[in-house]
Amino acid sequence: MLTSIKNYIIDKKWGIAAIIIGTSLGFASAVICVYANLVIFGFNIMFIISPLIAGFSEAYIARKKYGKSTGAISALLIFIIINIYGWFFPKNPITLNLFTLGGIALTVQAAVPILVNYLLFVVFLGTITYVIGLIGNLMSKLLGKEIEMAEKPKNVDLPQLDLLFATTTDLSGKNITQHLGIITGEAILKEEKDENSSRLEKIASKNGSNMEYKIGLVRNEALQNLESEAKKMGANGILGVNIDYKSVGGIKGSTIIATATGSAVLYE
Amino acid sequence: MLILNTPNIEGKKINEYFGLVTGEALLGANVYKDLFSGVRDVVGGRTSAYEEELKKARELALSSMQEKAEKAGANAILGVQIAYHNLGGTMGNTIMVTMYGTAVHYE
Repeated sequence: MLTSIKNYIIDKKWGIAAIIIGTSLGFASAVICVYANLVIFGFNIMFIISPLIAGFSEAYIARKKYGKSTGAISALLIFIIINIYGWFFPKNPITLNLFTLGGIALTVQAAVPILVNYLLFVVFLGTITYVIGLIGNLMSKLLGKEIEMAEKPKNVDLPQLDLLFATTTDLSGKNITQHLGIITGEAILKEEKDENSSRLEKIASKNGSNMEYKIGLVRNEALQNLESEAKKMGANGILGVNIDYKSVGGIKGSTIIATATGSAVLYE
Repeated sequence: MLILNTPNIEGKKINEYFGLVTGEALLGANVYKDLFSGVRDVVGGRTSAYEEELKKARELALSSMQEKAEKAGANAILGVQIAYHNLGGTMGNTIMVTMYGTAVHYE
């Protein structure tokens, strides 16, 4: 029992050392901040700096010596210690204002970065988008303009194609007399600028905007372009057809490109 | 219906080619499922909510492709390719499943 604990400690000695060094460095910086009275707008900068120093030094040592992260335990410890000091035994008591709130947010961020980033970027933004969507829906309902939900057909059939399209590389039972080379066809789908619908409605109707139908149209256009290319070369068949879709346009990404490629051939 | 991603059926004769058939399905994951899978990203584990939706979308695309092949009079689809795309940029919460193949009749 005792030896197993001993082995465990020896095994993790650098991890523990990293935490201790990180904590003492953070503590030292907090003490310096208190004695030197480094105060900005009535707010001691140790609340921001100390957990950061502790966390960074711990992470640095842990990575160099221990080989993996120790999870910024010292930053949490320092965070708890200086907050107890700051809120319960203050020389000059902290008052709640914009700077202290910002400082606390930063301190929490330094102590538990993954959780806070998740809350901030995923939960917060997600909730806002959802609420805006709901409000948009409600407003358009109140105004008597109900959002149309998929009135158009759900799917588009393939266009009437004169040539033989095949995804396979050969035609069994048929003789390919000539390969004419690679051909491509592209088409672009842009988000249509509907003058009648407001921005809010667009957000609200995001899921009912019938993308399947629109994508079908672009795909058909790309295939027709491919076919006309093949006809230009004098082919009567296209083998090894490949269809791909790409979403472009950065963060908003509302433009979709459909590409079709294949080999033009002559067969009998 | 026989659905393959090989160019031939071993031991079977293909007697007619009907050309391309396609199928696609869009999957708009809702905000709550997004949040949930976000939690899963952090804590680890399987996001079964997404998995199920993805399966549903794939089956939808497959049946849509099969329907078109049946309409053309085929009894097999060869050289099938399945692709998954992510639409909507960084906020991207729409997943598109597309598949396409060559409708044939074999004996």
